[in-house]
Amino acid sequence: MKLSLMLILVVIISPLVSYAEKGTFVDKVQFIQYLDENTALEEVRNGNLDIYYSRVPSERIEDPKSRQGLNVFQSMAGSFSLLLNPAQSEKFNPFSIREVRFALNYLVDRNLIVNELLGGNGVPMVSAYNPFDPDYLLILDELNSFNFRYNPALADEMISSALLKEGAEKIDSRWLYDSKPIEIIIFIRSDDQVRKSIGEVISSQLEKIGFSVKKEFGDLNKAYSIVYGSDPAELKWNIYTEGWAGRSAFVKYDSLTSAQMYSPWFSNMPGFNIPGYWNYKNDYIDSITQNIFIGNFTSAQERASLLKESVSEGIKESVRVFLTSRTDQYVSNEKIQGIVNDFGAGIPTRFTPINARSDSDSLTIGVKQIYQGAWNPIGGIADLYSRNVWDALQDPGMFKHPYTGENISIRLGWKVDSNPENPLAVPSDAIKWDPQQQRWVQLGNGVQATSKVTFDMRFSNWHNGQPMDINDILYALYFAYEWGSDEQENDKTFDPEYSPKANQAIQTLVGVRVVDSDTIEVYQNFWHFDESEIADSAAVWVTMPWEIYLSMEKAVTDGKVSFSRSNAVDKDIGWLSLIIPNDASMIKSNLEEFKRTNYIPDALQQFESDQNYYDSRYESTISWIEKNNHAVISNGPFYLEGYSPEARTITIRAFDDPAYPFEAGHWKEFENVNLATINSVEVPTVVSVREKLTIPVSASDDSSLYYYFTNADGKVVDSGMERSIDGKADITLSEEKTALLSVGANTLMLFAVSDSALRPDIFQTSFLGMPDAKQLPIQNLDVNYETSSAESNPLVIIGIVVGIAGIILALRKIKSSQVNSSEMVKAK
Amino acid sequence: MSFKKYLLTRAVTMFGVLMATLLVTIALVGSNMDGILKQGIAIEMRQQITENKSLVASFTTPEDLESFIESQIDDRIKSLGLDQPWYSPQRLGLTVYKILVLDFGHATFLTSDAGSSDVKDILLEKLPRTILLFTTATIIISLIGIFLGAFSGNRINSKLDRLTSTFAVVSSSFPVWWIGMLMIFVFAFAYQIFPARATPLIPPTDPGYIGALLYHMTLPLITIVLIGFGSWAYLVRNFLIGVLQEDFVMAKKAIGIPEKKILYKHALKNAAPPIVTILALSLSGSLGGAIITEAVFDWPGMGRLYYEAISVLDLPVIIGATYVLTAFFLVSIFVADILYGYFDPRVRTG
Repeated sequence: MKLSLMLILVVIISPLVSYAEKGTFVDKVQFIQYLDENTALEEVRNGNLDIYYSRVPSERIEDPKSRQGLNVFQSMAGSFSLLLNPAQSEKFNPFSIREVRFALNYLVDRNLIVNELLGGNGVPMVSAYNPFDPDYLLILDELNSFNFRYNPALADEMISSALLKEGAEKIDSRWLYDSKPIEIIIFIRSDDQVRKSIGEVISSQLEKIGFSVKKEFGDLNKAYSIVYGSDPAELKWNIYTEGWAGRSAFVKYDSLTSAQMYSPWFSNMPGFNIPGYWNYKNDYIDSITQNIFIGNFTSAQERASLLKESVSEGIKESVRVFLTSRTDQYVSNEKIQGIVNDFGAGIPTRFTPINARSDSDSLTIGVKQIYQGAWNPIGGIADLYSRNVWDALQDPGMFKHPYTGENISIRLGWKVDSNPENPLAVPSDAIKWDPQQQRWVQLGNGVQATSKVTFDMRFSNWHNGQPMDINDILYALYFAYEWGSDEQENDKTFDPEYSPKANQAIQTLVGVRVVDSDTIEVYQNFWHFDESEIADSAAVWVTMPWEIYLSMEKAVTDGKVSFSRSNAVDKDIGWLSLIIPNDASMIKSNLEEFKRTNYIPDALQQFESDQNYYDSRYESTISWIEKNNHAVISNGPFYLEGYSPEARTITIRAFDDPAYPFEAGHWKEFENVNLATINSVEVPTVVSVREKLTIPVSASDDSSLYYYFTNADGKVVDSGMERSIDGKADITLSEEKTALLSVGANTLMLFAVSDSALRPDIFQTSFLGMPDAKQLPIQNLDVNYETSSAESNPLVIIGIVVGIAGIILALRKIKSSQVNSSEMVKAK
Repeated sequence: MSFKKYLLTRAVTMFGVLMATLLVTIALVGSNMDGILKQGIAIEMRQQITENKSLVASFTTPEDLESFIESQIDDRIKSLGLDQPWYSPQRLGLTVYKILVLDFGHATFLTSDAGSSDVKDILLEKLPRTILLFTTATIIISLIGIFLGAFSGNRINSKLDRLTSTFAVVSSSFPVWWIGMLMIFVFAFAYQIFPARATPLIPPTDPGYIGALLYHMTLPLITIVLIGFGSWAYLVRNFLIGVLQEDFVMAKKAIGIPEKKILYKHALKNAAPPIVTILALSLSGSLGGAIITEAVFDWPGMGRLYYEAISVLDLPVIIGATYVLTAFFLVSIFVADILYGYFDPRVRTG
């Protein structure tokens, strides 16, 4: 009876505790280097490659026919801006005047750049935040208040007013100062075709309004000398065409963008805080962006308000004028399903190889570079190409949601207790590593911390078959403490790249307390209004077994190799790479020595004394290296089969292990982005002011609709948010609000956002405001007739035909006279 | 001048040229490089640190972050030796000394595909690839060119001669990479006869590797040969036309020596000195690879290495590659000079 009851219980319970066998749909992924993106594109089309992890030329896939056989994915790729030199110098610098800099916002045609130079693959930007940034909606009303549109006449007027005040004069449509032409040197990056064209367009606009423009072309190295390496007061440049790379991760709370793009303290504004140079100063913007950076806010609203203020001030200063963002195109073969297009990383996100499905059991992925730097978890795996592969080999503790940027749990569940006002008491048995005593010490009584995060860890097996355990976590913590401690004389556990960062990171860490075999409490001095940010800051997790760390440490402290590239160059030794057979062999021989000497690392002595445990760890890893010829062991859904430098391929295989916690398809929810869409907006062409206005909107269900009504002066008349219910919503403007609309052109901007994907669908339209909607603007209709095109005007056509006929007759006449004269010569 | 003295003089001259090239490279690149690299490091370090969100979150004041970034920049500059001027005895002297003992040091930024940052390893990885494709192609081009040129030179205004001349002009007008792209389009994408990628996916330990390699490199090899042999044949033809009109050829014809023997044994030998010179220059030139052709055929050799090294200003790699290529160039010129003496005894005695 008891036995049958137990069997029933096992049957009932087993689905709840069962583990997956394989976390991926495919058995094998091969990364192949393809240097040329045109070749790679054709290989994807022909099915020789399934996916290509680099951008492909957008002009090659412009029309539907050229997209046959392909799935095309768009990814935000970066942005373009103009950096203006505001330095005051002996020579007159028009951009030292704030109004002149600000006027450039009206002089640049952002739509032209997007439509003509980027072929539609971009979005206009007026601030450092593009419409697809998570923070964009927070600052949108501020951005709208500037009402930036291409308006060269307004720009000319603003510039003229400012320059005349400074004593400049305009003679024969040219600006002069002290009777000399006002010269603007624009440094144009010629190694980027788009930036080159932007430079040409801006130059032409500046010429048109009367400046003498000198174009200086060059690449990044030349920019290092002229823009970044010269005193702004020397005025070697006035404008620089900047380009920014996209973000590698879609982060919800970005603390540095406004500082980086607008604030002098961040050393990214003219002068770059180089002593002795003229430096741009702005204490006000410094204080706001510093408050954002250090998290000096207590709520999301307060943060939003700081963000708005910083962007507003940055735009008013206009030392950096943003133009557009750029979208890149990525391709996969149409047969491949399940690709995840992360808003930050694009399709090379870790979820793509994990979730992709093919009609075969393998995937081939083209990559631009196969090996750019060493593979070690301390100072290696630093380049994008290595990371793309490595991300499929390891499961992190936490990760960023691909569409909202929020922290999501992969292997770490968390619970946060925090109080920024009243710090928590840290239990006396919480511990930290003491590099002096070379042991873990208890913190004792009286220690406080701002927050406590309890992590529930989801362990599995390492790729070599050994189970992950708390010792792996403790060793990783030891490593951060030991290598992050202040540098002593002859300190062997110091790396110039890793140690200062680790030292900084452990400053906020107060201590840890091991609760049980898979639970740990982390105490730290960090607070954020979003608890998941606190957890992210405290996250303790490891993606390689402790014995690999131990063996790497020995190799480095023996002086054979270095963790970081710069230290390797400095010491003229190798940069430790676990993927390379020679280095793997070094790791193996260290492990053999540990096994032979029954070595127990200091960091684990207080927790585990069973020699069999250590032997088993050493043996498994030694066997792994012997079998695979590399020392890359992790815990992810794939394991590294091998790297072939000759073939320039990396092959990874599905980690088919019963302890692996996620079944294939676990991340399938990321496959389809739940983007909000605006289906229709019924805006009347003519709206009566002082009458209530209701605009029915059809949008995807359960999305947030942010609306902004702007009048002809660029003032936001009304803004707000409505939720679409059953795909419908009404935006209502009261009589008081419509009274604020202009008689003439007004604008409605609408942003639809879903809760699960922070990328808005954007709708914008103009409508006419009239005192009485029944009266039509007759004058405008007349204007339309007057400006009608030449093709439709018969007089113009007749004129052209007569002109052509005249030219033909004249040419014939000239020809006949030439023939006559040549005949006369012959006759002579 | 005795042959030994001749060899000694040549060796000293070559060493002088090698050192001069080296110093000019260091002076030209080094003087500009330091400032550019320092700026680059400052920007790169700032970017690296600010992208590390958890690290940034650990700073309690902006001043702490700033001083941390500054110290990291200083450390990096120091570790790369950029805190001293390029002409300082430590940097210049050490570089020259190391190169003399064939120690090119470690690359600042680049690594070999096999994972080594030792410049020697990087060069030893790329150079064989370039030799395999470009030097092989140059040898095939010169062989076809010499025989075809000799053949058409002996039959001036024949159909073959006119065809060779026309082909030479047409083929020389197209860049290799452009024809390469067309060849890939036709033979790899439209008809899928050859693979678009020139390196096989199987490891060298696989028994079928050699066959796979030959199959994969067929398309680039055919392309380079197709573009190159016409102009070679045209050159050889023109050299031979001059030689074939000389009196000694007439005399040999008059005494009844077979035409084939006159052409290949006597005329070709007399036309050999300029051909040998061009061959030597072509062979040494082929070692430098070709950036775009390598990119089109996915063949990462010396050309691409040079391009990448210059892009990121990896001075040890630039110096190492320049040194090796200059050395090869001088050796090939030296060999050509000796062969000159064999083909033309007047040079030897002079």
